[in-house]
Amino acid sequence: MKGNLVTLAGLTNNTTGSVILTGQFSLQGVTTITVPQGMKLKIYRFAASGNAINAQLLFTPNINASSPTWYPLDQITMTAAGDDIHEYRARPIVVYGELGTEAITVQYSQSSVGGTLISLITELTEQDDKEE
Amino acid sequence: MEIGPNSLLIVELPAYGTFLPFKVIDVTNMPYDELDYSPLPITTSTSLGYFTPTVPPGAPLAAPQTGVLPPMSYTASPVMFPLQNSFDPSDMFYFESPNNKLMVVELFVQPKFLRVMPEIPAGNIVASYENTIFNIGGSIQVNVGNFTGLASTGFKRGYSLVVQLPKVHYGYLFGNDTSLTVYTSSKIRYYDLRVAAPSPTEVLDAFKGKVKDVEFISLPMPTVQTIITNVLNTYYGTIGIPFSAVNQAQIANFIKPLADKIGGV
Repeated sequence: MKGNLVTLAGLTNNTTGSVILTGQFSLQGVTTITVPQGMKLKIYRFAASGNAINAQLLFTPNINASSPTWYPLDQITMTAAGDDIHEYRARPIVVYGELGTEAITVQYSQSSVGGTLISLITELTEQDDKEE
Repeated sequence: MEIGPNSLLIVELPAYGTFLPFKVIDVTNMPYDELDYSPLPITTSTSLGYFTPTVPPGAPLAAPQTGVLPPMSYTASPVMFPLQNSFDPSDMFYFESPNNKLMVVELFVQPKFLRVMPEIPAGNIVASYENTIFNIGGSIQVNVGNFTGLASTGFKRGYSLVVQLPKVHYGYLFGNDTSLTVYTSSKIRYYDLRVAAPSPTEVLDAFKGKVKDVEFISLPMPTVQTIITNVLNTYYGTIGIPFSAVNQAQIANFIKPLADKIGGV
């Protein structure tokens, strides 16, 4: 099954925090995207645009833990206002949903309050998809 | 999938251990077989269940908006597709006549990650473990529709394919096991068929792989359903050809009442 390519994006609104991500199908923004059991989340692009920022794309194997442990997948560091785009066309970052508790988030810190757009291009697809 | 005139349609009924063979005479709606149906007919009166062991704090017990599924929720009451001016405006796929009409309905759901489970008839989820489906006397008891934890079985993501029998309301269960609150939509592809009883030779050849244009579609009801039994007997004069009787003489024996009801070729 080919999945839907979904752009998830959100503006930072503080000096630190988790980005509230919204996408085409979502009615409400969320700070974590879980990967359903049996599926995988492909991340083709991680980008930031706006004020200087340090943004980390993070993964946890268990979002249901009282204090989930987050592991870094990628990081964008912008020391001045501008854009930074990390693209993975042929080999996307992949997060497998083995238990259905796996999730990603984007956490950030910046010296000025807000003003940076964080975006992800993602695809949620079945694990038997042959486009590894 | 393509179903055209002169092809064979083998409808399998695992709960009965039988199949019904049909020869497609015409596909009356071709080539205009697609309908965009958006959003999914999930309404604020559609009750919700949750994939989590308990309802998440603050989660709604009914859909918050038309066509919207909250995170980790599924539709707990059967969803049908209403359409004004159809034979039954609450269920566009429901029909009662003519005897030789069958519908094949494909559902393509967006977002594609949504779980889809048909209910045949409405309220009877087809999802279950295969031992129960095929009723082979296994001792495994499966609580059909048991969503404890995340270990439910028997769904398809973003897609469904059913043969719509006459005089039966089918339902659908849609599930969203992501952390997103999603808007839903769908595309329907349907085949409005006129069918007849095929010859025993054709049926046998289909099982031998000698027929090119043949579709085998299962209606995986876990258990025999009285409403379905009544429909089979009323419309087809038989509950089908037993899987154990796939030989020409037996097929001919079972096809005769079918041909009496819907005509033969």
